[in-house]
Amino acid sequence: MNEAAIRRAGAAAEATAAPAPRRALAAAGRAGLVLAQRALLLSVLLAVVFAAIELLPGDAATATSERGESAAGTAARRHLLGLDRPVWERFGDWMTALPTGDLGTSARGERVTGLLAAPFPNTLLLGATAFAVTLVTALALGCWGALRPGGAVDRILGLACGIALALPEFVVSVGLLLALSLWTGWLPPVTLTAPDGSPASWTMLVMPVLALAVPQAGWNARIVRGALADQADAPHVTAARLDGLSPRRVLLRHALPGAWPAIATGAATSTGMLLGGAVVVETLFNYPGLGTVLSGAVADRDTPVIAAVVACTGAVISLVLLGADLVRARTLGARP
Amino acid sequence: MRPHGPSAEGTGAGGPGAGWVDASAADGLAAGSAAAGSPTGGNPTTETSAAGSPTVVSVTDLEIRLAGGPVLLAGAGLALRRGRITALTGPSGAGKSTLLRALIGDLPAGAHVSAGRIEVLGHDVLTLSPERLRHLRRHRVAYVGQDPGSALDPRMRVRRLVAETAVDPSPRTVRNLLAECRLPVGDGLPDRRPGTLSGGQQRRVALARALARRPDVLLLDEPTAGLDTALRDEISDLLRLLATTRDMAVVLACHDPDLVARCADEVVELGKAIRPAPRPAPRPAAVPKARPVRAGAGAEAGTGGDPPGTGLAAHGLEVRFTRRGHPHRALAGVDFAAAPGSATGIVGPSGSGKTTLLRVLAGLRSPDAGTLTLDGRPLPAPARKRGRTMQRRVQLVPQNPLGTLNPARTVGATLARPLRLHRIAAKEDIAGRVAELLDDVGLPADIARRRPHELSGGQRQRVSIARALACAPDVLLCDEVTSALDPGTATAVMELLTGLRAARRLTVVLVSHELHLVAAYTDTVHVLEAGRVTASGPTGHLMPANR
Repeated sequence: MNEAAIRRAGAAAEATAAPAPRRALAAAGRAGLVLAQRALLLSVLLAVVFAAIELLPGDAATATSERGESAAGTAARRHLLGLDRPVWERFGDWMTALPTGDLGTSARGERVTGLLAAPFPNTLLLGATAFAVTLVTALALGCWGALRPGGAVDRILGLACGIALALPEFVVSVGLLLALSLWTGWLPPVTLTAPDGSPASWTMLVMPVLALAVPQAGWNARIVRGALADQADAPHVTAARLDGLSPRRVLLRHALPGAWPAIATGAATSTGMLLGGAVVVETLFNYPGLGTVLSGAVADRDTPVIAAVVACTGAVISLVLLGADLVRARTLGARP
Repeated sequence: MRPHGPSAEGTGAGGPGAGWVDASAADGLAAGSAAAGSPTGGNPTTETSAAGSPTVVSVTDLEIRLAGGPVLLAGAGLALRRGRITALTGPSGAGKSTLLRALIGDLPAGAHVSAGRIEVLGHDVLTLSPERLRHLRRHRVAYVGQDPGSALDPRMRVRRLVAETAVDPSPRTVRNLLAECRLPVGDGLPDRRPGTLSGGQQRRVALARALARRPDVLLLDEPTAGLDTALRDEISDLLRLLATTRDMAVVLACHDPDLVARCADEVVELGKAIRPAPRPAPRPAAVPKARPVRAGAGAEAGTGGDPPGTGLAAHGLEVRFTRRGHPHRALAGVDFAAAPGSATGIVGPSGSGKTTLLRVLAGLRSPDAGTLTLDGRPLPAPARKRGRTMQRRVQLVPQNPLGTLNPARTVGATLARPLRLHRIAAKEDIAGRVAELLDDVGLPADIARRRPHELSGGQRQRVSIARALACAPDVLLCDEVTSALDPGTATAVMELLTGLRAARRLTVVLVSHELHLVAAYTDTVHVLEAGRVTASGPTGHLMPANR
């Protein structure tokens, strides 16, 4: 659905930009090719997921068996779940059903679409908020440091960002829990779920978002700072400085635009880290997201659920990377 | 040439020199905006000096050197007055650019002023606080560097580039400024980005950007390099006019004796004694060195090179750009031929497609129509499809050496790369060959350890020529290779190319605005106008008419 919408928007944009219909068609063709490549990449990823679960010891039938279930009963359930068929057949079945929106049935007999309906938007909300916080913080800190290269602010920020990016999410989470919840009592330590499956109040989002954003902001601030340092040596930035433009203007108007490709690529790679970190953070804060679903499904060796989660997050990451590529193409396209 | 200002001022308070300095320092900020509003009147700091016009910049016994290293500029003295144009000449590497940059308080990395002082509009720029220095650069002293192509932000449109520094950023004023700099404003140029402009247009946009802030002092580094004679004369007339009407002190570093003769009131020649003027390597030494190398490379490549080919030829070249939906033809059916060992000149006004033609020949831009042949065999249009031998045989010396030399590599590494890549010299011979190449273009061997930004414009240009020669090419495409060289060095480089033509049947294609060089060193000339060859034939027939 997402891809179709993007394709439509892309085609519309191309149509307004190019007067000749033939060029619009060619552009749409290129866009379609790019999307097809991404889709192919995603299916390869899913095949790897299927293979990896197959290699784990045990299968869904044993993992979900009741205590005291007979071997014959387990075998019967294995047959029922189709686990006695070869893995590529199951993969083929699951993949051919995917375009219709059917994500299969879990080992416990629930529809996977139903299982993901509430947690996926929650994780998207968490991830998107953390992404926005990461980006804004990284840009602000990177630019602040770049205003006076080698100054006190620059050096302290460089050190602080290095520490922040080295901290694992769970360490940050524990620190935040201690500081904001146990000692001060400002924020609730665990997430309570409203009847519709979403967090009961926005205050419950604050700590998970911070726990995800702090390491990523450290990483991205360093990228922003580095990209700006590269740009500072560009001849046109030197020329702008010699024209006596204010440091802020030189930074924002002349150096930053050239740094966008590096910043966009760095931020896009952070998406994967954010969604991966979400598994840990959601478990720690009892946040009703994909992380909880995923860790349960891995314990159950529940291939359809795991594959569905990977498909969802993979599509999101793929789209963000595509966005970064567009930013890059646009910025570099302005060059001769 | 008398400025209008001082007569209206009458006698100012205080004597010349000290009084003026104090007043200016006190109201530096106010004077900047006052000067911007009305350049000739209302400036309280103007003081008539003994010579009749006020001195705005004075440099005395300036010496700039790298810490523990070479002297970049020695004993330079300069006095600029309002309404007058001063030309700064001297051999390549004499410190012209260093002096201009020092006037706005910018020294090369690692350099310091070891003697002398610089006073600009009453401020000692070397001790000025960063904020006041910035203000000086922003409102009162404008500098245009040697390489405006890379100095203009590639992501900004011309309109915004000029409006950014303008006192009055309204679209009408910006258009007037562009028109004043002889840029065509009617055909959408203000909405284009620098990358789509020709070298000459970029230079004029940079000039417009400098003039937009209505400076008191205008510093120009090689303002007419890469411009044709007609444009050069227009620009020099424009500078004359601006210097008078805006009562502006103009200083230009340049090599072009015609420009100096045409518009300069005063000439300051820099440091003849600092470095010996680079002389070309003696011909008999250079030529035999080249021969065995070429033969070895030819045998390895299997083309021999001895059977007389037909050289480089192009037929019906078409290059189209789309600019905001409007098609534009940079080349419209151009035929071109250059026989082995010949020298072909390509001349034409700025923006006529000369550089595009060279880029097509070099394989950097694929034509939309047309074919290329080398010695009668088809030459693939994109360079990467040409195969190693073909790539080696056709070499381009680009217009803009700073943008094309890798800033992270030393000159030695830059020159060694093609030698290794095309297996022209054995590993242990590479250092020696690099020194020979540098010697060929009149550079000392110790340049090999430096990086491009540590070299002067002329030195960079010669490194760029040496890099192209390193591959032992059969066809050398030269795009304004002498624009940053003083006449002596330019002649030496042309002599070098002529020597190589005779010794190795090197084909030289020369794009240049310096018509006397084209007249002296080419045998065929193509005249390009708006993407078409309007005339071509033997230089002797065509050039006298152009001269």
